[in-house]
Amino acid sequence: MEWTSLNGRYYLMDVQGLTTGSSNFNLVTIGANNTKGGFFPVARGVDYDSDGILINLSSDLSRDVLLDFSTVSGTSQIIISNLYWSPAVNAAITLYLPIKVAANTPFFVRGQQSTATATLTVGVGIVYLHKGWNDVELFDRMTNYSEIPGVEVERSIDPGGTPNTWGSWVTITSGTVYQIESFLIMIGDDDNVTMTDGFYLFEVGVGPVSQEVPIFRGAMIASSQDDMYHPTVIGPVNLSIPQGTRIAMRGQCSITDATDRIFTAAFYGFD
Amino acid sequence: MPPWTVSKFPLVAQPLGYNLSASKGIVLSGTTSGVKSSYAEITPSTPWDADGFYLFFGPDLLGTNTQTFRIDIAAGSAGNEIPIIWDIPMIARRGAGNVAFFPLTVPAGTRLTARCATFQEAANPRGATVALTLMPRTYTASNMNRNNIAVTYGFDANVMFGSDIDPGGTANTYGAYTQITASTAHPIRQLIMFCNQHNNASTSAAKFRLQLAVGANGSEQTLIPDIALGNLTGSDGIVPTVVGPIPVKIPPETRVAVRAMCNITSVVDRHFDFSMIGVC
Repeated sequence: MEWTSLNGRYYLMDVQGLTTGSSNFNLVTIGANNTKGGFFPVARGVDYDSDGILINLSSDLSRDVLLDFSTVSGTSQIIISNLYWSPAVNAAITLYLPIKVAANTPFFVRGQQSTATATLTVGVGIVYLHKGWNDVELFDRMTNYSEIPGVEVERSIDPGGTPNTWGSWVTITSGTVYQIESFLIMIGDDDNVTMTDGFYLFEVGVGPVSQEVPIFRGAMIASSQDDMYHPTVIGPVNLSIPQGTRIAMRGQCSITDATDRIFTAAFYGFD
Repeated sequence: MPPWTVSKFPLVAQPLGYNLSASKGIVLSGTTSGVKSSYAEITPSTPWDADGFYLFFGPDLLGTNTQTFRIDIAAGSAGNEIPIIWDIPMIARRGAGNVAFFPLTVPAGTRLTARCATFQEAANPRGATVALTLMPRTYTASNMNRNNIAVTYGFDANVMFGSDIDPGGTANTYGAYTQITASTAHPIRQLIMFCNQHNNASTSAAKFRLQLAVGANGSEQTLIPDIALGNLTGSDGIVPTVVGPIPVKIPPETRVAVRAMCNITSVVDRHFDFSMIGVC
């Protein structure tokens, strides 16, 4: 048995952030008016080093959110900055993040959304994966490359007015700070609650303006019933991108509605 | 320093089977009988040795019909196709786009194809659309395992669903375990889980937590604790439909079971179905 090498422990993932008597996770009250709310303790940490975590998110409303994950109840140790999620009502998601997390590392989470009046809570739970158990690529850091502090996080990708034809490239970052070994893309609708059904393709490209080289292509479907794209997360994608590289994205789709054709994307690199 | 050597830049994934004139993938014909259709070619020959691929899959038409699919991905020459992944489940509610990463090696020069079977709720059977993004061999490391086998567990081809998971009649309390397999055929290093909502076209809003366990009946021990799921009443779908791949180590001949809790008690709507693909 491959498990016996780990001190006889049979289960090697631990979840934190559960709410007793609920099928949801710990609730984080999200700040309104594009302003972060306070930090909420979600997970206290485990007594082993973790090779990766799973983040569970659950939402009551159809509302784009940006979440910060810090190892202290403050901004000094934010290790996941502005994680973008664009759910439908009652949607949930599980993200696998291949980052190393030291023993006894807690997580505090805060968030923001755009509207002024609605109270929004997001359920957040963390699953810690035991160190040494997995033979997968692991990384020290997760960097938000689509974030321009104080300006924007997710990028609007416009497939353009001609159906099934690539739109223009949109710069994600003019130069990567680190050499990326893997990346994660979060797709959203920018709070559009009257979406149109459509088929979509997107590409990630690298290189200077007008010399972009596509390195990854994916697909998604826009749902007018859910007002949500499916899927909303792609990755982690294990592709290396050198330090200092410009990254851009473009899309094409089967619809031309000037509002509904536009999707949003946030891009996170692991190194 | 990471324990692997980075290949030369740039590394580029290879898109295969994308139809740029329709912003989707190739179309797999729908059937009405649950019998799988003929294979459709994704690529006649993969360009290089690959360490896996992203599979994007969904209904080939946009609309409101609910329809159940199972999709196979195969390798081999025409007439000699051998499924390398089979019975990938999908419910074609409106907007049912999905992505799953399969960390399987694919040798250069491989012909890849796909086929599907459908179970129609409405009068107009649909097909599926699939596209694939092939991932280059990124790393060379002696301690990294490469995977060659994918096995589907928990899918019932007779009813076109995964195994039925019933959270039970008490809200927010775990229901009984449902056995997904009595014995895994191979070790599992990467686990991909699929959740769907049967063919329920009138679901209730609900939140779920799912646990996957290993061990004998009555002695199950939780392996993957508390994955979040939610019912979308707009499309009557459950999300996420695909979870993973999650790195695990499940030995061969292991019993796997799943249980769940939810915040509703509706005898019909609290149910969902589950299947999984183990990769090694």
